Amino acid sequence: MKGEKIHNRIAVLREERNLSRKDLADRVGVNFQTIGYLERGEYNPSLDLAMDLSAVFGLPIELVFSRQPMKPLSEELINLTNKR
Amino acid sequence: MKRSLSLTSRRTAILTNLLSYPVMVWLIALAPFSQPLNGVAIGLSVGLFAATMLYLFYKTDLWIFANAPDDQLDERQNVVRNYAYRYAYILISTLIMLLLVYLMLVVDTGGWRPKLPMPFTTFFWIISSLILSLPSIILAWMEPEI
Repeated sequence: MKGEKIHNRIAVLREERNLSRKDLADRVGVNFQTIGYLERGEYNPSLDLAMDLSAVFGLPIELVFSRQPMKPLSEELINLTNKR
Repeated sequence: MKRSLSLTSRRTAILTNLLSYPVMVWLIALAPFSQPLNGVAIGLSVGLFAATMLYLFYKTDLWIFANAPDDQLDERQNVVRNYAYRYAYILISTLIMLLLVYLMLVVDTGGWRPKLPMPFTTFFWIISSLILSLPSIILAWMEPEI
């Protein structure tokens, strides 16, 4: 059974931290091509890999991965601030 | 050193490789063993097969990808490989079943069969080679980037 698409912010977060695909791949223990597949949304990661990636970015998993298309992080932060 | 091949080159090599099987059978059927041309015919078709295999798998990760232990691949590579093995299994088992049905009909009804010098040896090598190479070939056909 093919799962529903999981959207992510890996490409943006990786660029922000000046990491190459290879650097990120080495940190989470996957092949660098797998990072490309994740960024293009062609592969849904396991929970284990999703948690490892979130840990590298130092963000909660729900800010990196989502079932819905991702909004810009700035918009997300405004929503969070408004909720408080 | 690792070579990387474009998807078009890989698919061309795969089609040539698969085409070399019927060419091999056709050439062997054309030139009986007693004729000196037979050696050349077999040599040409086996050469075509070997050249495409070398082109596809020499210094690329394709063969390793299909045959490495699970822990040497990441989770996506394992998923892709499982998919390739599943399709290879379906293709090979269908091919073997069709061959068995054909042989059953030929034996029972005396239908047409190719006049090959060593039919069982020929089919043994073709099926064995397909069993060994098909998972890697499916991977080479599917993977957008290697």
